[in-house]
Amino acid sequence: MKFVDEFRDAEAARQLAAAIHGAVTRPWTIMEVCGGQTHAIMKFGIDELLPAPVTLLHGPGCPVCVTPVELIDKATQIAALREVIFCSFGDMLRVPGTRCDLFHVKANGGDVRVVYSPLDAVKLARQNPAKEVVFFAVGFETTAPANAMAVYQARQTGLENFSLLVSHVLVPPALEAVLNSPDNRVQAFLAAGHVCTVMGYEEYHPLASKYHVPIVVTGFEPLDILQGVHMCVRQLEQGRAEVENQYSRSVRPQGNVPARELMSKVFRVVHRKWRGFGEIPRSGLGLAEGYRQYDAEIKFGVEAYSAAEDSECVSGEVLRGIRKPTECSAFGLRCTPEHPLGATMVSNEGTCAAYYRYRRTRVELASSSPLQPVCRRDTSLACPERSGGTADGDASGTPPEPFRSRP
Amino acid sequence: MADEKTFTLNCPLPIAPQKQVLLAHGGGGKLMHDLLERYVVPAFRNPQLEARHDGAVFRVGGARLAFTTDSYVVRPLFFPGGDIGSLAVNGTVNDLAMCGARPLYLSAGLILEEGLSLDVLQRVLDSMRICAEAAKVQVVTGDTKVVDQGKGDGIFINTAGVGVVEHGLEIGPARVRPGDVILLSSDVGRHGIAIMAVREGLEFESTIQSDCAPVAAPVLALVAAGIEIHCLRDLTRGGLATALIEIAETAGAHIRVEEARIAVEENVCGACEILGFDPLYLANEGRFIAIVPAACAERALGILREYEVSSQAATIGHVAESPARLVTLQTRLGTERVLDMLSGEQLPRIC
Amino acid sequence: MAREIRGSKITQLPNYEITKFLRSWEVDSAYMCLAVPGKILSIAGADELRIGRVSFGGIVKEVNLACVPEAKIGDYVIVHVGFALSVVDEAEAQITLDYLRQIGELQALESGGGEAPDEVEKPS
Repeated sequence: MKFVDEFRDAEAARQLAAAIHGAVTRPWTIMEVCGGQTHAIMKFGIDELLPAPVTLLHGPGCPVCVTPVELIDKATQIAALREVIFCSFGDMLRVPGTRCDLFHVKANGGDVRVVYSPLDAVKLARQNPAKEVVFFAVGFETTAPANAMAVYQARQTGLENFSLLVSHVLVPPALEAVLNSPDNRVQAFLAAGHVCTVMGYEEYHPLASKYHVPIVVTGFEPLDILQGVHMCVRQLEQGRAEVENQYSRSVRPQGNVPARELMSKVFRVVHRKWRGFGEIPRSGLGLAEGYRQYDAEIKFGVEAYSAAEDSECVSGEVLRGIRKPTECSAFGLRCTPEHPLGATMVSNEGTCAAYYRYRRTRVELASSSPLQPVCRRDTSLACPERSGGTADGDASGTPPEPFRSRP
Repeated sequence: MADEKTFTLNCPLPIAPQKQVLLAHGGGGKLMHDLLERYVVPAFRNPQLEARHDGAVFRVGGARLAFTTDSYVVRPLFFPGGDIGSLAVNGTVNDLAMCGARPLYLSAGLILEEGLSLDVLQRVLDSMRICAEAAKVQVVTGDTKVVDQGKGDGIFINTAGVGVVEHGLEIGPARVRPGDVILLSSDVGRHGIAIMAVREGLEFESTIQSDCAPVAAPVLALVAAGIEIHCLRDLTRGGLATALIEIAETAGAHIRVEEARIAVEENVCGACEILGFDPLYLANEGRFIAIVPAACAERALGILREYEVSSQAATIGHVAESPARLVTLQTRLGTERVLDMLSGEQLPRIC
Repeated sequence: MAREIRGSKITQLPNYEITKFLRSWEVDSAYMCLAVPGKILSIAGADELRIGRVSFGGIVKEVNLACVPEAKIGDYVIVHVGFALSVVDEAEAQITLDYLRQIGELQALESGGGEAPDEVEKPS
C-alpha cells in the first residue's frame, strides 16, 4: 500500500534506530499521546529498537481511556431507552460505567450499534424516522470534523431524530496537565499526527517554550515514530525546545482550515472531566449555542447526572506516567482485561491492558488456583447489570480529588 | 431472517464470571475455551476429549477411524467463493483431513427456519452436492427439522464425518518437537474479509473470494509419501494465530514464526488496515498448517505445491528449543512479539 | 526485583519499558486515531456533500471530501472515520524518507566546519 509500506521499511528502521543510538548520551523520557502511536509501537516492537536510556511513556492519548465514567453512565441510560438507536465506535462498548457498560445494555435488548462513521449514524436517523438516533461522539480533535459534519448535515436537512452525546477532548490542555503534574518526568513529546492534521501545530509553541520541552508532530508508521524519537533526542541533546513537524506529508502549520471552520460553527470549547484526571478547564468540545437541539444530554435530560469513579482504579496516575500498572493494588487481580475497573485496562491501547499482556510471561503463579475476579459494583441498582459476581459490600471509599491544573 | 446490519463488527469483552452465553463464546478465543473447559469437557470426560484435536481417532476392529462434527451458522448464507453448504461439507472434510484420515461419509442435519425460500434451500443443497463430489465423500444420512419463523436464522447445518486412517502415524500436538518446521498451505485472511465484505457492504476493486475448499488431497499425499507428520491444524475461527497458540499450549512448545513469510493478499491487507483487523486472527476455510521434522520439510513443500489449494505452501517458522509455552512472531522490522489468544472475537458468525 | 502479591511473583518491569516480548492485541473495528491513506478513484457532489470513492489497497469506500476541496482524482487522502482530513503531499513524503540522508549531510557539515547545527527544516 502506497504511503504505508515505504514507511515500514526494515532497513530504514534499523538505520534510524542506529542514528538514535548514536545520538543519545544520557537518559531521556519521551511521551507519546496518541493511541494510534501506542498501537504501532506495540505492533512493530519499536521500543525494542531504541537504546536503553530512551524511555517511551504512553500518555493520555486514548479517548476511550479518558472518557469519564459519568458519560458512560449517561450513554447506558440513553441506550436502554426503547425508542433509541444508540450508535458508537466499537471500543466504547466495553468501557465500564458505574454499574454496567454498553455491551451489557446490548445483551439485554438495547439497540446498540457499532458504526464506522458518524455519517452512518445520520443515515440511520433518516432511515428510521420513528426512532431517536444518538451517536456517542468520543474522540480527540481528529474525529471532531466528522462529528461536526454529521450534526451540520442533520441541521441542513432538518433532521430532528438525531443527536450527539459529546465527549470530545483536546490534546494541548492534556499535555499541559501532564507537564504541571508534580511527579512529571516527561522531557519531550511526540505530538499526535492526525490531531495536528486537523488543528495544525501553532498552539504547541507556547507549551514548548513555557515548559522547555521539544514537541515533534509525528506520524504513525514505524519510520515516522523512529524519526520523531530521533528528532526529540537531537533537540534534547542540543538543549533545544522547539516544535518540529515530522509528519509533513499530512500536517501543515495551520492544519485543515475548512475542518477547523466547520468545528468552530458546530462546537465550542468547554471544561471537561477526564477519567482519572478530574476536570481540566477548557479541555473539551461541546455543542455550540445554535446546535443545542442536537445535544443528547439535553434531549434525554441527563445533563445533571454525575458519578464517582472507582477509587481503586488509578488509571489517572497511569495515564500521567507516574504510576505503573504493576503498582496498582487491583492490577491482575480484580482488574483484568476480562473484568476491567478502568479504561486503561479496557482499551487495546490502554497502558494497563498492554502491561497485562506482557506480564503474563513473567508471572510465576505460586498457587495453582486461578485468580478470581470480584465484582465490586452495587448490583442492587435497577439497570442492565453485569451478570454474576458478588458485591463486595464494602464502601468504595471517597472519590479522588478533581485534578486542577496549575495556572 | 435477521437484519445483517445488527451484527456488531467487534464482539467486545464481556465481564467474567458469566451467567449467560454471549456471542463471544462462539469466537474460538479465550471465552470459548473457558466455556469448553468449564462446562463441556467436564461433562463428558474421556481420553479422546483430552486430546483436544479437531477429530477423534479410534480403533474399531482392525481399522482406525476418524470421527468429527461441526455446525455451520454463517451469516450471510451466500458470500463470494462459497456458501453455508460448501462450508458445511468442506469444513468437516477438512477436520477429518487434519487427523490424517481419508474422508468417506458425512451426515447432514438441517435446521430450517419456517419461511426459508425453497430456492435458497435448493442452492445450498446443490452446493453441498458439488463440494461432496469434489471432495470424494458421500452424504449418507441426515436429518431435517423446521423451527418457527424467528427462531432460526434461515438455515443452520450440522455435518458429522467419518474417515479412515490408513497410516500408523499419531498426529496431534503431543507429537510436536523442538526443531520441527511449520508449513503454511497458502495465504490467509480471505474468508474473514469475504464475509465482512458482504455484511458491511464493502466494495473491492476486485472481489475477495473466500478460500473455502477441501484440503484432504494434499494432506493424504503427504501421508502417502511417508512424510512423518507431527501435527496438522486447519485455520478456521481465530485464524492462524489461534491455531498456533492452541498447539503451543497443548504441546508445551515455543513456536516462532516470521511475519514476512506469512502470505497475505494485498487487498486483504488493505481491508485489514482500514478496518483494524489482524490477518493472523481472521478465519480461513481452506488453509492448514503442517508441523513436520526439519528433515522432511523440503520434500513436504514439494508435494503440497503440486495441489492448487496449497500451491503457495511455505515454511513460516519452527519450534524453538526454549521451554516457554507460547507463540512469538518476528515482525518485519526484526523485533519479536508474543501472539496472544483473543478474549472475544473479531467477527461473530464467521462459519 | 520481584514482589509478592497474593502468592504470585510479579517481576517488576523497569521504568515502564516494553522489553523483549511484545504481545499482540485485540483489534477493534474503528480506532479513534486510525487514519489510513487511500487513493481517490472518483468524485461526486459538491461542498459538504462532496463524496469520493477512495481505494485503500483495493478496498473501496465512500469518503466525505468536504474538508479537502483541493483534492482531485488520483490524489491520496488521509481518511478517518469516513472523512478525509488531508491530501498526502508526495514531495514531503519523499523528504521524510530521505531524512537520514539529510541528517547525514548535516552531521558532515557539523563535524567538518564546526558550525552551529541547523535544525532539519520541515517546509510547511
